[in-house]
This record gives sequence, structure tokens and C-alpha cells, in this order.
Amino acid sequence: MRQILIISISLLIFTACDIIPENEREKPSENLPTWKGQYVLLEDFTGVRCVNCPAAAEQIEVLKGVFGDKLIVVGLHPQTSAFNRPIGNPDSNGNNRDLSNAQAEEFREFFGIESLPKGIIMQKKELLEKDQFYSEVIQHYARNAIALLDVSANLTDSTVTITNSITFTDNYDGQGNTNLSLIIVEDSILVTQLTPDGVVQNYRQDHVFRKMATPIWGNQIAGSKIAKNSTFNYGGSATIAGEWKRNYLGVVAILFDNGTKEVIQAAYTHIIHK
Amino acid sequence: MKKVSLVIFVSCIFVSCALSFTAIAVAQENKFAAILGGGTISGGVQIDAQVYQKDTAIGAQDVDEKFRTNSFANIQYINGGFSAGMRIEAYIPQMLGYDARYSAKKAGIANYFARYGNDFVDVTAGTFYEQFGSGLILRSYQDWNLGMDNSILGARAVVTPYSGITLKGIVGTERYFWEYKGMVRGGDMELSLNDMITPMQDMNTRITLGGSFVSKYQKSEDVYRVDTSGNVNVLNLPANVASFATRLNIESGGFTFSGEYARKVNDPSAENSWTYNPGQALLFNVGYSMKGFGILLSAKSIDNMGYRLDRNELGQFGMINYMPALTRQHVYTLPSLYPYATQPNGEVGFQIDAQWKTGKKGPSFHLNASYTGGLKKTITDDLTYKATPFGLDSNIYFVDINFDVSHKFNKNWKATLMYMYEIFNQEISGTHYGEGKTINAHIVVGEVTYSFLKKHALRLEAQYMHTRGGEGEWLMGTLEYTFAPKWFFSLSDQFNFKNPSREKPLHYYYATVAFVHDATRIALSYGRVRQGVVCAGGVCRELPASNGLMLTLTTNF
Repeated sequence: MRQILIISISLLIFTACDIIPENEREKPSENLPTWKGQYVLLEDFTGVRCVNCPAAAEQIEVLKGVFGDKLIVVGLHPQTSAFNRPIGNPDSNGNNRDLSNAQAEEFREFFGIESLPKGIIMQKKELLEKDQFYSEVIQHYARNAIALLDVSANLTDSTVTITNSITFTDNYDGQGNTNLSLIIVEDSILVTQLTPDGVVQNYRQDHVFRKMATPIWGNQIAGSKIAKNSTFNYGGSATIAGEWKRNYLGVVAILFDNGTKEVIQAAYTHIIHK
Repeated sequence: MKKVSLVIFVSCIFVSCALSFTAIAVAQENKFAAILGGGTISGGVQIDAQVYQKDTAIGAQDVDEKFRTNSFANIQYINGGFSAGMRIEAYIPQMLGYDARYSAKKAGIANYFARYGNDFVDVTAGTFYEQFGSGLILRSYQDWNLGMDNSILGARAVVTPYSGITLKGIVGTERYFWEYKGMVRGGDMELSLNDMITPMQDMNTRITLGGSFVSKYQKSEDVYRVDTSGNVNVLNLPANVASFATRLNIESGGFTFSGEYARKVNDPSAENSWTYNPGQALLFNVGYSMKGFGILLSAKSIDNMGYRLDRNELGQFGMINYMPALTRQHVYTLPSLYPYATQPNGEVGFQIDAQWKTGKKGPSFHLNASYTGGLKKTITDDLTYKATPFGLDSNIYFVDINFDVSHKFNKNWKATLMYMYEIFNQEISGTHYGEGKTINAHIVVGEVTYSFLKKHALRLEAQYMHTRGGEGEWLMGTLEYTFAPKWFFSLSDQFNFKNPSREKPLHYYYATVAFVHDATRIALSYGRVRQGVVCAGGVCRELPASNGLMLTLTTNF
């Protein structure tokens, strides 16, 4: 009886345990799958007082190196003051370094984000840590795109004029109406950032969410069922703020299912300043 | 004569009816008692509700749903060795600072169980809580204030085959908000040598040995790691991760010793940056107590002991185990402003706690000092490192040195005076209170209680905090009036000034009225709550700034 007990316990212990030998811990990934037209949207919830956010930003830069312009990033700075109250003194130009805004805060509330950094990919309601970005991005990258989305934007004085054309390359059957939203983003904003090494002056923030050029959840352009080869054209405009740097602005266009909010297709264009 | 007969007759009818109704009532009660079989029903209800209002001065945001509530109701039936129960929870929606995933389902049965126990065996089916030793490899518990509940849904058995031998086994899946995730199984054996070995039964020295193991299962998945050169690699992840622990407790006279060692096999996760290092933890406590004096020395070394259901999870949820913070849990507000949260990836901590009293009517003294620092690690490659238990690096995570003296002057007057010095590393804790990587704080607290007219008490409390780094200086005053046993009134104000991030000083006023009746307590509060964290034993929850009316109702039956 005693021997059976000892053997049973030993078996239980040793079968409930996987020890990975040193030479089997990792292997090079296969080459990137063939791209079939699907752009991947990554929304990075971040903040100037978020100590761990620079690490997530570094990871995103590495992914941009892997996926290039097929990965479209938007950096959202919610209004939660714990993460986004500006640090230190205003810069010499007196520019507004407060990157947070109420619209980014609405997105944070919708996705239920309570801590930063967090990533949302293709507007799926799944909060991701930086180490999970790659697995999720590559899954969407490998998908067949069912819509082509073209966007162009021109800036005259303070007004951005945006034009979009959308073509569905396959039949589409969604849960809700099909909406298009437009986001103005800005690159190369120098701010004071809290990092693991302390407070860093002139830290560069890229693809920063500035404002929506549409309502938060866009405008409806079609219903939930769309036939193959259907095309839609949509125009929009927005006013930009004085302190934004005109040569560093862009527009992110997001075509999505308004029932699930999940992205069908995304596109990015630099705003041409005339 | 006829009238007398009529009265007698009607009276007889009334008496007969009364007797009949009494008999029916007794029969119903007996039936009910028969159904219950002589068992008892007990339980409790707690309702926390708040109305939120925007207050830009303190960073309290406007919220769409201004009325929010967290509630639960427990009910338990016990009859001899048999018990069964459930807990219903409701988040309609969850209060701010609690995870929004609780509101995915407005209300539901969170826990339910059936249990039977006798002298030999105790078995539970359903949800249960369990801890092995200090919790270094398994601790399943619930803390309502933290929004924490990692109960296990499955089966639990405790067997006492012989006197002094206790064997436990568990298997199940762990609660994750309104779902159950992963798989965890384990066993524990505890040997009380004094009960097992006849010659030791009368000894003053009591020795207890324990050993446990736990294993978790999570299906392996493709996790990609992009190295600094931009190469993409796929990790080979273990599906079964086991952990082991052994412990020893000795009590002899006034001396106590407890030691525990825990080890975990490779467990790459988002929390430990996918390292393949095993984890290990050591925890020691040595104490001595006698009449009027007690002292406790504690030490711990934690290396990669985060143990979770989901390798991708971070934060306070999905934990299988628990690592204690060797720090004092303060009851006063300003000393609790910057609490320490345990760092499962690596830390070394020490604590000394001594209390003594000078004579029966003399003052009581309490000295406590704790230090927590980083564990020194030498990176060997991208996925492993070397570390030695109790090998400190130069990073100070947390220091708390405090001393207080309390004295009851007479039956009316009582006072306490406390001083505390704190070093709080913001970078490690991931917090951002004002400026600076480290906050150094000096805190003084004074408290006076005046009891009068048998049931009345007035308590005045004053606190002051001076900081280098952080949010500047704090001054706090509290006045409380208690009319035992039913009424309680409180007024307080936390005043923040010389805050480098704010132009103007700020008041956080707060008022509370509470009423107690038997086992029911109702409290109504109004005022400002500072943004911060709520911690218990090294596990913390973020608390957003808020302003508004708050109601708490608790009752037990």
C-alpha cells in the first residue's frame, strides 16, 4: 500500500511538470506569410507618466520594422490624469504638451482599459500586453482583405480635406452597419516622458491621436451586407489646432463593423500641406 | 344563564381556534425544522454604492453612469457535518477603480459549494478557498475591498488518517471575473510531530513539518519574441508548470521559528519577460514573546515567483500564489499614502517588529522597521539569468521605519503619538505621484481620545507629512464622535500644499455618518477621495480620484 502511494505521488508530480531543455526553448519563426492586402490597425493606449509605455513603444517600432506600412499605429493618450498630466515646465515655445484628450478617453472607457500600456488590434475588445502584439498582428496580416481603402488628405490654412474611396473585393456580411471613421494623427511630438531611467526631456511621441475628423464611431457608409465590387466614396474635413506641426500630420481611415466595432480595413496617408 | 352559556361557548370556540392555530404553527415550524433537519442558515449582505460627480481640481472625471454599485449576498446552510452555500454578486455597473470586466455580467452566482466533513475526511465540491503554508505556491482567497477573488471551482479533500497527519488535495479551475480559467491541481501534507510521536506529546517544544506541490496547466501557444535585431523567434512554452514547497514550524516556550522554501519550474510569461529561469522563494520568521514584550524578525527572498493561470496576464488578477509584503499595514491615512506592492520578479525584504509595555498601566511602545530591495541578477542570455537568494542589488524598493507610543492616562483619556520615515520607489511600483523616481517622507501622527458619559467618545487625530519628491506636503485632521453602540460621526480634511504639479493647494474634505443596529451597519459618506492605491498584504488596486456620495450597508444573519 505504501509503495503504491509513493509511486502514485511520484507519477503525479513528474507528469504534471514540463521542463524545456535549453536548446529547445525557441526557434526562428517562418518567413512572414504572403501579404494579401490586409492592413493591420494597432491602437496603443499610452501616457507621458506611464513608466512602462516607452517599452511598448519600442516594441511597436520593432514591429513597424517587420511589417512596414502594413501596420498602422495610433497612439491614444487618455485623460486619466495619473498617466497623462504633463510633467515639468512648459517648453520654451510655450507649446501645449498635454497630449491627452476627451475622445481618447472615450475609447479608453469603451475598451475598459484600467492600466497602461495596453494595445488593441483591429478594434477587437481584447486588451493586449506588448509581448502579445506580434502574435495578434501576424494573424490579421495573413488574412485576405475583403475591402480596399484609399485615403488622401490635403491641408489648406487650418482645414484638412479628406477623400476616401472604398471597394469591396468580396461579399461582406457583418453584424452591424459599415462605418468609416477618420483620425488626425501627428508624428514627432517632443514631450517630457517618465521612463524607467527617470524623467526624459524631448522624448519623441509618434502617431499621436489628435482628434477625430468624424464622430467617435464614424459615419455610416453602408449597411451590414455589401456585395462584391461595391464602391463607396466618402469625403470629410477637419480643422487643425495652431500648435500642431503641419508637416507631421496624417490621417488614419478605419472601415469597421459598427455592431462589433471590429476593423474591416484601415489606411494611412500623410497630410499634404499646400 | 343563556348569556353565560353563550359566552362560555364563544370562549371555547376562541380557545379551540387559538389552540388549533398554535398547533398548525408548531406543525409548520416542525415541518420547516424537519426540512432543515435542525440545521442553521447564516449569511451576510454588503452593498457599496457611490454617486460620482465631476471634480476637475482633483482629477475626478465625469462618468456617463454616475450611480455605481458593488454588492454581494452570502448564504450558508450548516447541519452537523454538512454545509452548502452560495454567494451572489452584482456590479451595476462596477464602482470606479474596480475592473470593468466585473460588469460584463451585471449579476450572477459567483460562488457555490457543498461540503461534508467528519473526523477523518472533509470534502468540498464547488467553489472553495485554500492556502498551502504561507501561500507561496497556492493561495486562493477573496478580498472584497481589493476586488480580488481567485476561488477554485472543483473538488477539495482533506484527510486526517492519523492524529497529527493532515493530507489535502485539490483540483479545479480558477475564478477569473465571471469565468473560470485554466486548470490547477495540488496536494499538501502537514505533520504535527508532537501529535504523531508519543514521547513528544508532552514536550513544550512543538514541531510541525509540511510539504506541498501544485501544478497548473495552460495549453501551449505560439508566442513570438522579436529580439533587438528584429529577428522573430517562436518560443517553446511548457503547458504544465509545477511548483513545490516545504516548511518547518517550531514553537518552544516564548520562541517561534517558521521557515518555508518554494520552487517553481520554468514558467515563461509576459510578467517575467519570457525567462526560462526556475523561480524560488525563501521566507523566515523568528519571534519571541513574553508578558509585556514581543519581537518578530522576518526575512524573504523572492525570485521569479509570479505564478498565474494565464502566462499572458499581468496585474493583480489570475494569480495562483501569494507573496507577502514584509511591511507594516498602517491604519492611519498619511502613513498609508504610498504603500508597497510585492514584486514577484525579484525582491529581498527584511522586517523587525517589537512591542513592549512598561508595567500594567504604563505606556505601550511599538517599533517597526522594514527594508525591501532588488534581487541582484546577472543576465546570461536573452532568456535566462543568474541570481542568488538574498543577493541584494543597489535598488531600494521600500523602507519604512516607524515608532509609536500609546498610553491610557485614565478611564477618560487615551493618546497615541507616532513617527514614520519612508522611502518609496515609484519606478518599481509603477506609480506616478508627482515628480521624482523616489519619494522620501517624514510623517508625524497624533491621536487623542476622550471617553465620557459611559457611551460617548470624541477622537481627534492630526497627521503631517513632509516629502522630498512626490506630491509635496500633507496635513490631515480628523474629528470623530461615537455614541455607542449605534451612532458614529466623522469629519476629516486632507490638505495638500507645496505640490510642484499644482498651482493651488487642495483640500480633500470627507464626512461620514454611520448607524449600527445589532449586526447591521449603514454608513453614508460624502467628499473627495484622493487618487491612489488600496493595498492589503502587498496586493494593490488602483483607486481613481472621486467626489460624491457613498453608501455602505452591511448586515449578517
